[in-house]
Amino acid sequence: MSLLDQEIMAELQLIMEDDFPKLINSFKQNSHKLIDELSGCLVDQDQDGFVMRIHSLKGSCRNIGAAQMGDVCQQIEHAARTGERVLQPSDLAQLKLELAQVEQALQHYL
Amino acid sequence: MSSQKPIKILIAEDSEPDRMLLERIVREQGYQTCCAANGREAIKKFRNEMPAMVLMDALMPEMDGKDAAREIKTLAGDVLVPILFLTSLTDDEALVSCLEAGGDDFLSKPYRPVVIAAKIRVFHRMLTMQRTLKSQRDDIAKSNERFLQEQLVAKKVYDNVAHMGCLDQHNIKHVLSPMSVFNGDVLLSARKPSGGLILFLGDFTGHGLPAAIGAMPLSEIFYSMVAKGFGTESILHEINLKLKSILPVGFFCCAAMVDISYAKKRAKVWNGGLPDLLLRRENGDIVPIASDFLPLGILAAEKFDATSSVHEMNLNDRLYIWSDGIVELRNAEGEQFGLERLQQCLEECSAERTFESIIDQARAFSRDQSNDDDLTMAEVTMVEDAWSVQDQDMLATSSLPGARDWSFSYDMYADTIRNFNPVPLMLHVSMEVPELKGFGQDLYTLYAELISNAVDHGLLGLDSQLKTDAEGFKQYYALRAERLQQLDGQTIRVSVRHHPEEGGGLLVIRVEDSGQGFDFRKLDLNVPKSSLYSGRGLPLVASLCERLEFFATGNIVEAHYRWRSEIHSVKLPASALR
Repeated sequence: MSLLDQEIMAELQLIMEDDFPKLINSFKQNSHKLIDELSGCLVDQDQDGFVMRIHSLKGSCRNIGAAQMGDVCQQIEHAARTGERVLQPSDLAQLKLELAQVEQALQHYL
Repeated sequence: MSSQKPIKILIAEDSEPDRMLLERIVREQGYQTCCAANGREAIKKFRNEMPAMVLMDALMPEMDGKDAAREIKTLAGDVLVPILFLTSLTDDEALVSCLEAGGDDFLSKPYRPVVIAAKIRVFHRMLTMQRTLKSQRDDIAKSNERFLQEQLVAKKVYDNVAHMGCLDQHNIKHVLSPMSVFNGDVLLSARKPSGGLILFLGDFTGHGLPAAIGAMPLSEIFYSMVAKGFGTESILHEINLKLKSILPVGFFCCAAMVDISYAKKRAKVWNGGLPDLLLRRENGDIVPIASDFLPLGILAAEKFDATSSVHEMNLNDRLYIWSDGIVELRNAEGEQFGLERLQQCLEECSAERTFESIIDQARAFSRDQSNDDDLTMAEVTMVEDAWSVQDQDMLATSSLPGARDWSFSYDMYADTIRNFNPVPLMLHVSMEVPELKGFGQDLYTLYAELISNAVDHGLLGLDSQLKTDAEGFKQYYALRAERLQQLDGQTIRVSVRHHPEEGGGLLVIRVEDSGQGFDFRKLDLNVPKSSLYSGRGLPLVASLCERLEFFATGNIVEAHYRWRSEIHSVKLPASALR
């Protein structure tokens, strides 16, 4: 499992042309914002808000080709929906780590 | 794509990078876009920008995609706005709930640009098709509305021309199919200047406008010719000629014309293509009068035969006339109502209730069938005199000054005697005396009787004694037709002079024929007019005139008809003063 899907990256570059960096920046900002909000939801024990945001982050990751991070989101979303495991701040720490790695990988394309 | 107008697509997606990407993909395809980050904003954008299609994220903050979709579908009303849900949801329940909220399809995440472009194209094609259909539907609705409008106007004109005349008389019952604006049936009736009645029932091939167009000149001819005193033969000839010239091949008018004479207690019937008319005598006998001729509008003038059959009708005898609608009425089993059932109605019902019970039975018979109510029929009962004072007054409308002092002389030779009825012409001239219009019945009787005496007895030597029974009537008319053909060199001269007088006038009619005359001294003019079929003419004429005299060998007769406008209404028979 790679951090970024090469094919998708190529396609995105083709579609976005000069706006490609804008898309990358938007992805980064959006992801940070969502992870911050997820922390808030965790503190407030807002399950609906948590599920919606993790779902959104997952979709965003997959669109940008960040498959591995998407899968992590998927696991957390599943846990949040079913309640089979209590979510910890450590889950979000893992997400942050994934994001840092993806951001690093994205640098190569800018 | 190139041929289609660019449309605007609303993208509702809360994640900014996803929205950015999607917008770019959609724009690449040549569409305009507008964007919203949540459901509430999507609705606002929809109202303001009227996009033709919506790409909608299912899960969004503020208001989620499903609620927004419902609202947008409501706002769109009957305009089709496809909503495509953007979703990475995979469980069936979630997908179904999107469709139930008004979604038309899905675009799954992650986005595949080729798939997105293809799906948008599919829905764009659908939109284009739907718009075409809608505009065609609107065109059809508009032209249908215009058509109905035109029909209503046409119906109004039609009703003015083809009105039913005097069908409201107390001795006439009728029903005219209300099935459609123009169903092809025509029912006309008019009072003859002589006081009788002419009834016409026509059934045009086909329905709708072609039938209506044929009916208009038909009614015009009917009403104007009856009013001028023409007989059924002339009227039928004229109508046939007209229809023949205006109707396309294959279109014609099945019809029957009934000429009722209240004074002579008889009906002359011509039936061209209608079902048998039925004459129900007071004693219960039923006489069918079958169609002997082709419908109107088929034969050329020289081949057309308008000879009527003559049927005596006593008081309270009833004549029934109908179009094939009632005969061909079908029940649920596909059986026809048929003439036998009609005849049975006549046999079994009381005379007064027959007409209504035929209608009741026909409706019961065809219950729940689509042809219900395609009934056009009429019943005429023989009465003493059908006309009321009011009708008389209506005739005497003109108070304009007219021709009052005049005379004319009209000579007829063999051909004219054979082929022409001069009575309308003479009536027309006489009616130019304004107040004389109200005396049309008398004038008609005078002209018709005096001239027909001159022809039948003076020139043709026919014996009225023949006309004592139905068989005799037939023989009489056969002989008459035969001898008319043999005329050669004979003449009839009609001389008329009108002298105006204070409050009225004197009309002197002199008829001279070239025949041998007769011994007029033996003539008894006091024979009560209703006791005999024969010889009714002269006593009738005598009863109307101040003086009736014969001259020479009896081949010259002179009638003095003195009239007073102020005693006009007093002169009416008591039966008319209901």
